[in-house]
Amino acid sequence: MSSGRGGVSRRKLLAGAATGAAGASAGCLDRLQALLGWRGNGQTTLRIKTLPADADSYALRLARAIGEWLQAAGIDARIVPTAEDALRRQILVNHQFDLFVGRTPDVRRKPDTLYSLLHSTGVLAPGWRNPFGYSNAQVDDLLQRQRRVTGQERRDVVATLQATLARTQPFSVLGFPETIRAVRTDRFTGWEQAALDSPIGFLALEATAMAESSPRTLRLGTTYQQEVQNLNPLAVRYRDNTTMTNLLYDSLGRTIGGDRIEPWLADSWEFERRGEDLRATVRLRPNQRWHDGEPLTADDVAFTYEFIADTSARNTDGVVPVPRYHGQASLIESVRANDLRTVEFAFTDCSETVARRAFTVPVLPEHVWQQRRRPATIGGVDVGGQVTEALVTRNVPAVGSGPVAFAEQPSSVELVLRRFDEHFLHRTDSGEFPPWMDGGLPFDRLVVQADVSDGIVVEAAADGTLDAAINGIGVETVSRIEDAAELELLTRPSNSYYVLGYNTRRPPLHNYQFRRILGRLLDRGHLADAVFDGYAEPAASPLSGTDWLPSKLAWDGDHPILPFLGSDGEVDDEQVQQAWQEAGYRYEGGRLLGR
Amino acid sequence: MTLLELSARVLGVVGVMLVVASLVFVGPRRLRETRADIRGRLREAGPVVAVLAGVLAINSFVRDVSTDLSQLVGVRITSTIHAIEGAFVGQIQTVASPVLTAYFSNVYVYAYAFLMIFPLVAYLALDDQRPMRELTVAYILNYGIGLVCYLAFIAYGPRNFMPDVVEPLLYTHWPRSQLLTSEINRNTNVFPSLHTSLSVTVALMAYRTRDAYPYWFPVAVFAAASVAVSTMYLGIHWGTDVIAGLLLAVFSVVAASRIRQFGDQHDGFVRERVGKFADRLR
Repeated sequence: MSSGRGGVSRRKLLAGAATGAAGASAGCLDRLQALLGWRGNGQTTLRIKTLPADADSYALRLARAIGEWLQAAGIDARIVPTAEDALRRQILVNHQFDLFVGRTPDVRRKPDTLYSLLHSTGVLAPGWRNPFGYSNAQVDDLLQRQRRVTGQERRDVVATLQATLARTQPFSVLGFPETIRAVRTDRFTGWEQAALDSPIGFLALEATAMAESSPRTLRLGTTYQQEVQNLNPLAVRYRDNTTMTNLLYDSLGRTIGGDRIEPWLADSWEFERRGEDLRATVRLRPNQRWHDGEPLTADDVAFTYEFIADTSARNTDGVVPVPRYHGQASLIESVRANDLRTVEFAFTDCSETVARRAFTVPVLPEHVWQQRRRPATIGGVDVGGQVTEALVTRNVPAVGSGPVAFAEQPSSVELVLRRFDEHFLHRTDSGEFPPWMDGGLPFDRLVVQADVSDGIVVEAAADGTLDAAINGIGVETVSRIEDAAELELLTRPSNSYYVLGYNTRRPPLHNYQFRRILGRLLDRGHLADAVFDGYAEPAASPLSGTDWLPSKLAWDGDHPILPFLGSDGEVDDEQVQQAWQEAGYRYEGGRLLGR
Repeated sequence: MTLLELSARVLGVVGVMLVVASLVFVGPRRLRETRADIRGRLREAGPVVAVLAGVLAINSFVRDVSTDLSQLVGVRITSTIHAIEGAFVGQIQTVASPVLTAYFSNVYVYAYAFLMIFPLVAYLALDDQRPMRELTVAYILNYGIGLVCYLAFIAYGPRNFMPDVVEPLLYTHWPRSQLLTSEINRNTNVFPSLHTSLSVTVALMAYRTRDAYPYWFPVAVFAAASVAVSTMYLGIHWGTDVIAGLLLAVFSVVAASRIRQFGDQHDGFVRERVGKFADRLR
C-alpha cells in the first residue's frame, strides 16, 4: 500500500478541499497569529485549543490546569475553546495549532495502533494519522519492527518504543478516563458485562419480562449528536465514537477479550507463510446479505480493502485513502476474491498476530460505496476534487451487514435501528458459534437519542424515557445518578485517553527538550483527582493498562521518567528555572524568552 | 419532558403572568377600551410590528447558519474578555445558594420572556401608540445589532471557558432548561447579552412611560436588574457582555425615539406615497 509523493500532496490538497474557504481564511489568520505570537517582550506564547465545556466535560478543565502550570513556568499560555467542527479542521486536517487537549480514537489499544498514530509517513495526512507531525527515525524503525518480530523480542521492541515515546513526548498522556454510564435494570439486565463499543457487548444484555411486550425496544441516550447524525464509518472525526457504526457494519474479525482477534463475519481463516511472504485465506460465512437484501460476497470484501487504500476514482491520479484505517491498510499487499466465499490476502512483512488486525476493518457493500468515489462537493460546488464523497458523506441511511439495520432517523437527535433477522447471529444455519457469540441481540428495535447535556440524558434515564445513558457523562453528574433510585452507576475503563498534543512542526515544540519540560509541567496525579474526581488513571504510556506496559513505565505516584516539577499541583519555581536552563532556554524574571 | 412540553410550560406560566400583570398595571377599563379600538391600534402599530416579526424570523434562521459563517469571519474574543474581567463572574457565584439559584433560574427563563411580551400588551392598550412604535423599533435594533455582533465575535461564556471557577448553575439546577436555551441560542453567542439589552430596553421604556404606568416602572427596573444579574450569576454571560448589553439598550432606545420622531414628521409624506402607490396598483 504505497502512498507516493502524488498521494501525499493529494492529501495535503484534501485538507484544503475539506475545509474550503474556511481553511484558507483560517490559515491566514492563524499564520498571522503565529507570527504575532512572539510578543514584543520576547516571551514564548502557546495556545491550547480544546472543546468548550458544553461539548466535553473534562477537556477544558484539563486545558485550564495545564495553562496555569505553563504560566507558572514562564510561558504565556492561552486557552482557546473551539467548536468541534473547527477543531477537526484545525487540528486533524490543516494542522493549525500549538497544543491541543483531546481524546484519542476509541479503538482497542494494541502496540500496532501506535503505527498510524506516530509513524512519520503520516505527518501530512488528515485525521488521527500523526496529527503531531512527529518524526523520529528510531521510532519509525521500532514501529516497523514490532510488526515483524514475535514473542519476547516483540515485547522488548514495544517496551523500547514506549520508553522512547515517554522520553521524546510527541504528546503527553493526561489520563485514562473511565466511561460513566447510568443504566436501569427494569427492562434490560446484564449491563455489567456489556462493553458497548462492540456488538459483542450488546449480546450480554438480557430483556426482562417487562421488555418482552412487543416490540422489544432498547433506548439509549448519548450526548454526542454525531453518533446519531453521522453513520459513516470512514469519516474523519475529531471525537471518535463508533458505537453505532460497529453495530451497523461487520468486520471479518472482532477483538475478543483484551488482545485476541477471532473470526466474526469470516467463518474461518488460515495463514500460510512462505519465506517473507505471509498470506491468509479467509472463508466467509454462508448466505450472508446486506441490509438491502443484496448478497454479501467475497467481492465486497476485496472491494473494501482496495477502497480504504484509495477512495478516489480509478482514472484519476493520486490516492485518497481513509485515514482511520491506514494502520490496517498498510499491513496489506493485495486482496483477491477467489470465489463467492473465499478471499485471499497477501500481507506486507509482518507477523500473523499483527496481520489479524487487518481483519478489523468494517466491510462495505460495493454497490453502495462504488458511487462515492466522486470528488466531494459543498452545496453542489466542486471544491477542488481532492476529497471524495466517501470521506464526507453522512451515510444515512446506512446499508451494512451488521446485526442491526437502519430503520429511520425521525429527527436530527434521534436514530431508530432494527434487529437484522438475516444476520448470522440471528439465523440457525450459520454454522457453529463459540459461546460468546450465542443468543443474538435481545431487542427488536434500538432507539438512540442525542441530548444536549449529560444532565438531561441522565434525567431521561431516571424517568424511564431511556434504558441507559451510555456516553459523554462527566463526573459532575455522578451524584445525580447515585441519587436516582432507579439508576445504577456503571463505570468501565475506556480505550480512548486524553492527551496534550504538541504540534512538533512548530518551534519551539519541534525540540524534544522543550516538550519534555512541558511533559514535566503536568501533575497527572493531580489531574486525576481534581479534574476527573478519581474517575481516571494517570499514566506514562499510551499502552498503560495493557500487558504491554513495561514495569519501568508503571505509574508509581508520579511519572517514572518525567516527574512533575513541583508538588501537589503547584509548580516549583526553582526546579522550573533549573530545567529550562539545563535544556538551553532563557528563563528570566519569571518569563521564558523565545529569542 | 421534551422540548415541546417545556415550551408549553413556559408559555403557560408566562401567559398567567401576562394576564395578572395586564389586570394590575393596565386595568380592566383600559383593556375594554383596547378591545373596542383594537383595529385602529393594530393599523397604527401593525407595520412596525410586522417588521419586528420579520426580523425575528430572519434572526432565527440566520442563527442556524451563522455559527458556521461566524467560524469563518468571526474574531475570537473570549481570551480578551477574560483578560478584562478575570474571574468576576466566579466572584458573583461565591454568594450562590439554592434559593438564589432557583430565583435567578426562574428569572432567566420566565421573567425574561414576560418582560419582553408584557410591554407590547401594555402599550397597545394606550391611546397614544408612540411608545408602542418606539419599543418595537428598539427591539428591532437590539436584535439586528446583536446578530451582527454574534457574527463578528466568537465568544464562549464563562461556564464554557472556566468550568473550574464558574458553575453552569442554570443547568445543574434545572438540566432540561438547556433543551430550550440550546434551541434558541448557540454557546458562542454571548457578546453582547441580549437578555440584558432587551430587559434594559424595557426598563428604559418603562421610565419614558412612567406617567401612563407609574407602577410598572419600578417593577420593570427590578425585573431588568434581576435578569442582568441572573445572566452572570448563572455563569452564562460575562460582566463585559452585560455592560455591552446595557450600552446596546441605551443606544437602541435613544435611536428608536429619534427614528419614531423622524417617522412622525414624515408620516404624511410616506402615507401619501403609499396611498398613491396603492391607487396605481388598483
